[in-house]
Amino acid sequence: MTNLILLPILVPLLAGIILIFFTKNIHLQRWLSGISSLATVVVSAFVLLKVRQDGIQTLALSSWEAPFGITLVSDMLSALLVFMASIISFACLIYSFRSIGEQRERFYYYSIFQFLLVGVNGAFTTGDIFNLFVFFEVMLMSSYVLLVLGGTKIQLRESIKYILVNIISSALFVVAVGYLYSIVGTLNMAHISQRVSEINQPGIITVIAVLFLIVFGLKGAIFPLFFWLPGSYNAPPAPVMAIFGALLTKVGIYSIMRTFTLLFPHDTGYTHQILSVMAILTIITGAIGAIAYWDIKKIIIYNIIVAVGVIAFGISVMSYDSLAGSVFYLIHDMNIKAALFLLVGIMIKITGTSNLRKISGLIAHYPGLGWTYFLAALTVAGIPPLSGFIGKVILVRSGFEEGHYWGAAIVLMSSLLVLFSVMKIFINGFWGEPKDYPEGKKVPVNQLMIAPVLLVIFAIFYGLGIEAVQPYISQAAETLSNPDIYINAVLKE
Amino acid sequence: MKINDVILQTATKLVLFVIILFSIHLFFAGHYYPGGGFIGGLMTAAAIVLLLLAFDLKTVAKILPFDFKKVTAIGLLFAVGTGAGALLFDAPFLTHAFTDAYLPLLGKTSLHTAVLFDIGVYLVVIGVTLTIIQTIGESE
Amino acid sequence: MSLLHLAIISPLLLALLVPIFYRYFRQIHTGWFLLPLPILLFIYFLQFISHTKNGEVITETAPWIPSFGVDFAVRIDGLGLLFALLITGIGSLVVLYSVYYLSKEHEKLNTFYIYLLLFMTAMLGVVLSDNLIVLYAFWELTSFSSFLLIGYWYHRERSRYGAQKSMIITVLGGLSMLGGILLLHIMTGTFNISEIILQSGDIVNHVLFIPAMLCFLLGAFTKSAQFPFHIWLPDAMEAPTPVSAYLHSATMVKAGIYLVARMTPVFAHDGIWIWLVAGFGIVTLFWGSFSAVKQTDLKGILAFSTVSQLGMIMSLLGIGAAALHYPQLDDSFYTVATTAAVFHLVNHATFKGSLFMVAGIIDHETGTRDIRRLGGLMNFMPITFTLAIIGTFSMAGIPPFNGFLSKEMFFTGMVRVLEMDIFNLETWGFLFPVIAWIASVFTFIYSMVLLFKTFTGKHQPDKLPKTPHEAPIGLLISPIILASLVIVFGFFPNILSHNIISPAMESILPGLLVEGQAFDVHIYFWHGFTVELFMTIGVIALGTLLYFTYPKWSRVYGIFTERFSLNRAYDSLIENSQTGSYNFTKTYMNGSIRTYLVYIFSFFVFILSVSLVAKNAFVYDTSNVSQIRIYEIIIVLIMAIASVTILFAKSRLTAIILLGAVGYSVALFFVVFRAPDLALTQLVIETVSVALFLLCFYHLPKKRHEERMSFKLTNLLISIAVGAVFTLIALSAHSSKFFEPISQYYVENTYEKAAGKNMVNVILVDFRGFDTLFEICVLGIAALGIYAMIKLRMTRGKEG
Repeated sequence: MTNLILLPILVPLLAGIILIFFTKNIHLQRWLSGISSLATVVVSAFVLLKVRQDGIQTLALSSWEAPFGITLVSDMLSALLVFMASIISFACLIYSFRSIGEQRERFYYYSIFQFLLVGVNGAFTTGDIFNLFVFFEVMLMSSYVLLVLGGTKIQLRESIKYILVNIISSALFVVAVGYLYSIVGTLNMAHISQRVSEINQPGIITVIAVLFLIVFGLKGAIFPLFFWLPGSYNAPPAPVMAIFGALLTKVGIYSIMRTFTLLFPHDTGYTHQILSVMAILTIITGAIGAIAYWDIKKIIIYNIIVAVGVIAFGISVMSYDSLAGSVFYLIHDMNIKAALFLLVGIMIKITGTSNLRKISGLIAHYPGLGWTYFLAALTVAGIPPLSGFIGKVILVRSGFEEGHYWGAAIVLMSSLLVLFSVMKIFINGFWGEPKDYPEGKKVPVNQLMIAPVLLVIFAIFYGLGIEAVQPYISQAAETLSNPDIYINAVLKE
Repeated sequence: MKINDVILQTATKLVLFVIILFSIHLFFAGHYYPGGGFIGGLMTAAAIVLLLLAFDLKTVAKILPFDFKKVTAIGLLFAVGTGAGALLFDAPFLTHAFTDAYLPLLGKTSLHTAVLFDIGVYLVVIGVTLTIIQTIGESE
Repeated sequence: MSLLHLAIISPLLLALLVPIFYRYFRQIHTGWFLLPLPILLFIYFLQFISHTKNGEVITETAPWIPSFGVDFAVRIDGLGLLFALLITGIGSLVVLYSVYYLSKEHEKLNTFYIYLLLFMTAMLGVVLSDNLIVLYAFWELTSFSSFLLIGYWYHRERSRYGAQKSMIITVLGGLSMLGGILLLHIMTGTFNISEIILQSGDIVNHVLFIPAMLCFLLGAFTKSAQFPFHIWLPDAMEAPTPVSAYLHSATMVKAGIYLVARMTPVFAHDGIWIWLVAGFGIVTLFWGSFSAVKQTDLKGILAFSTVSQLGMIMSLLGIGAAALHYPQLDDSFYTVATTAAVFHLVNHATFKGSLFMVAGIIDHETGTRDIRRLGGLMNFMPITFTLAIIGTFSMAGIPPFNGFLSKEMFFTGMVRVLEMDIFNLETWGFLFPVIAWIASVFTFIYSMVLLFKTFTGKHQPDKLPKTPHEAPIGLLISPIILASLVIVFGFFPNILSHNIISPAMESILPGLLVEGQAFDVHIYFWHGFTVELFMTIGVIALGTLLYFTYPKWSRVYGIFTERFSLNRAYDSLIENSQTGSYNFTKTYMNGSIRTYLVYIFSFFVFILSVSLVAKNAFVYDTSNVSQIRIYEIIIVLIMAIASVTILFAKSRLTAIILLGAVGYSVALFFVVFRAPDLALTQLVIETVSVALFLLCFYHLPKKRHEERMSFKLTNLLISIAVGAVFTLIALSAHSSKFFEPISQYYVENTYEKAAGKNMVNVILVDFRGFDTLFEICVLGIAALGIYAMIKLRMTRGKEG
């Protein structure tokens, strides 16, 4: 099937468009989006298996050969991320069915949700740097709408900041692409990589690499570019927050991974050093932020920043092992962040507040919620044998091995602060004197729990079954540490 | 607001069709000369905006009883559909095909799937511009 | 997956069935269903004695993550077996005790027993794992099951506090241990303990050796409540007493001891190990016993006592490790310390376990554990009193109990430090027996306090919530068994010598013996009038004296007031780190978008200027620049003037029109550079934008407030800097054209292959039609978004 790797983009695209026609019929919307999401999961699984068996898959769109047309490239990293993105959006979608509220459902919520997935999957799969920009725009525009949808005061206030920062970063992106094109004369990533190697990455290219780091750092929320994140992620309803936290920042970090291993890997003494410092500062400020608040949303939001820093650290160490560790960790993090946000969303729905000081004793009436949260909390802190453990271990070990002693130690110790911050929610919110929450009776907790439970079960199996996952991650790390594999797959076709 | 727009309205009634025809011309000319879907769509949208300025929203809504969001969606379907057509032939998405054909009135014309794609672009541009203007206008 | 693996995870599997027992068989106490398992496991493990006695070691492996060298490898040797027997043996007694202690009507037994079984699996896993990563996994599981058990009565604030404290401190140690494991892996290439021990001689001089050692020690010290990490143990007493008896005296806290013992063959090659382990141990011994004396809660005394006794065992392990430095057979000189350590491990479990159960009985029957309210109970609870005598006398080191024997050996070990010539111990070594002796005095005192304050003295019935009477026989069985062991091991210590102690010592101090040899462990009462005997007599004498004169000297406790206590330090650390973090974060996350942009742009300017300079990246090459014509300059001037004037515009209308002027100038540029499509598009878009802006700005408030000069100045500086950076990079980018751009392909092929003469349009719909498709999607999404944003305004409704 020639167009296989396009399908995870095409299916949600069609769904998104068709859903525009049926804004009045909410049931139909739910069915359509559910089926489309499920289909996307299935299709991305096929892509994953195909890449596992046959290596990197490419698609030259409009039948123009690389590097003259736009090429989609699915290497193992892309395939894994597309697969995870599809699963997570499916989970957040079924969570939305019972939680987003009919008003938003009438105003194109499901349609925009699908478009967001289009942008994310497209960004992961494209092999062309300007096309990456376009998919970023799709993703961002959808996120603007989802952020503001509902028009509550906090949403409007935070949206303007979010939109402003992202428009600036998009402008920077275009300018950076323009500069790059001026120097290397091509937009195809494999071709860029080849040409940059040929001229041995002169100074100006390193400067542009730093410029790209700023662009993607803005999207990925790395210090000191992350100021927009806590405010804007705090505003929208839970499933939107979950999809943002699990996917959007990861696209930024993926872009850094891709550009710094494929396009600009030649001056690691400089570029990757900068990334390393930024990563470590990100972890530290994120961890400080995580323990600072008594607002359950903010706690998880700052945990996003910590995770981004950990993954960025892995990229900066730039060894095969550290890249493998980053990929392991990236996949785990996408999954568990979504689960945490969904669980926190249920807590807010039951208690009517996100202030931890006002919540207590939830475990008495909602034990399922409590224990699922407990497991999710242990997972995010990297406790074995759950999913966060192995990635962190490989990362830390490779950090020590390559001489990044302080960075690796900081990554290790950040787990303690992460654990403290998420356990704070358990100890104060779930334990404690049970309170009466009359509004809670109306909340369809069991139906809302389906999505996070699925994700947590995934985390458990991912952790226990690491051996089965390992060949995939290996293949991904292989391509990342060896750009020639990618270049040959794309340009020889 | 009841202002005396007689001059504007009369002028509009005359000029409107000219603009629309010109925009359609721009649309079809795209592949060989400056023009194309964006420009054509923008000109048509500009024409309709002129209509709005001269008359008011309700009148325009009566003349053009479209839900412009659906127009946008139809445009997107055209564009995606053109691309998906290639899938039927197991060719990469959005591969275009073109040929020369003999049409009854027009004689030898070259046909290109890009036109279908451009129609999609055209419709999207109109739909988007008008959705925005209508929405903002209605909320006055 | 062998039977051994199954034995380790069997409690976990049983835990899965607990909800069923609890649900459907409510009338029978759930504990009864559990009791057979630890008993069976104990019997199962007993059979291994015959193997380990001969120095045999049993190993089994089950794969988990072979690609990373992480396998569920288990290994039974003397040390592991000793602990396994402790875990299952004491476990059985505790479960039996808990059946009578926890009321089946009032307690949620299902969660209690699930946690307890989880712990049992975890602890067995720790002591029997041969793979360090798997050991770490079980280690953390013990931390969390302990957390859950301490917080069992979660509606109580003290329980939650204690649970959190124990979690933070032990996980800190756990993470540190993980770091050490990874460092070891880098040095040796394996996670397997047996293999690491084999390589230990080679890695001694590696630069990572001492960091790894320190990491492991931090893990061990936090788990075994060594000073200054001991503060979590007294607060852990919030747990139900069966838990305190099981985890926090006999098993979990000994995990650190186990780790030190297990890793001695690896790290003891460096003399600093001896100092650190013995040093922390002896300080803990002293501090624990010193603090125990002033406690008023029975469990508090026992908690600090446990801290102190763990310190004792730790110091013995440290001293015993010196034996590895003297490979000749004069080793029995220092091995006595290791013998004492192992022996005391067992003894402590017996007497401390029974004492905790006694405390629980007192609590159960009188309603309080406060020694100021208790007194004169010996008439009401004679059996309990007897058990208490046995336990406390053994603890104090009084003959003829087992505690006396191990205490004597402890003194021997400490005295022998004076002979050591490793690592400056000649000069400072004398501190060890001195501190040991002083600490033993305090041990004696608090043991007597525990016994006499509770059972003798005045009975104060009005201060007791319940009327005291003897405990039901069910509650008494377990402590009776333990107390009997105190007596048995006291009189017949050599039951343990060859079966348990000697094989355990072999695991701790391997390589000292030749094939077939075993440690000659022979424990007996009378050694003659030795130094140690006089030390014991001195302890009893001084202790008795101090006990009776307590009110006179208790003021010494006031010296270290609450203000400087470690607990206070911990609490303020937790409190201040949260508020401090909040304040710190608030300084830069202040919600002001302008502040954020200042930071972002400043960083942008900074890092890019540095990069330009550092990489020598600025290139200026005008060779390929076309001639600049006059009207281009005019258009640029118009753009520049228009842009600058926007800043000074008085009304919004003017600003928007000027913005439009800039846009139209760009369109003019497109015309000049011969890009008619772009020009057309730009013109129309600009017109539409200006129209839309005018429409929107109609609604904005009229007057903008004036900003401060510093505000405007910062904006100006940053804007200029950003512009400058962009320009420099642009010039360099322009001057560095190395390749023929792909646009050439389009120029050549646009008619041949794509049937179009307008290259721009062909690129848009054909060559890069995929981009266009998604750009129009973006337009569509934007339209939907604007529609939704304007039409849907939810009031402050239910968010979620």
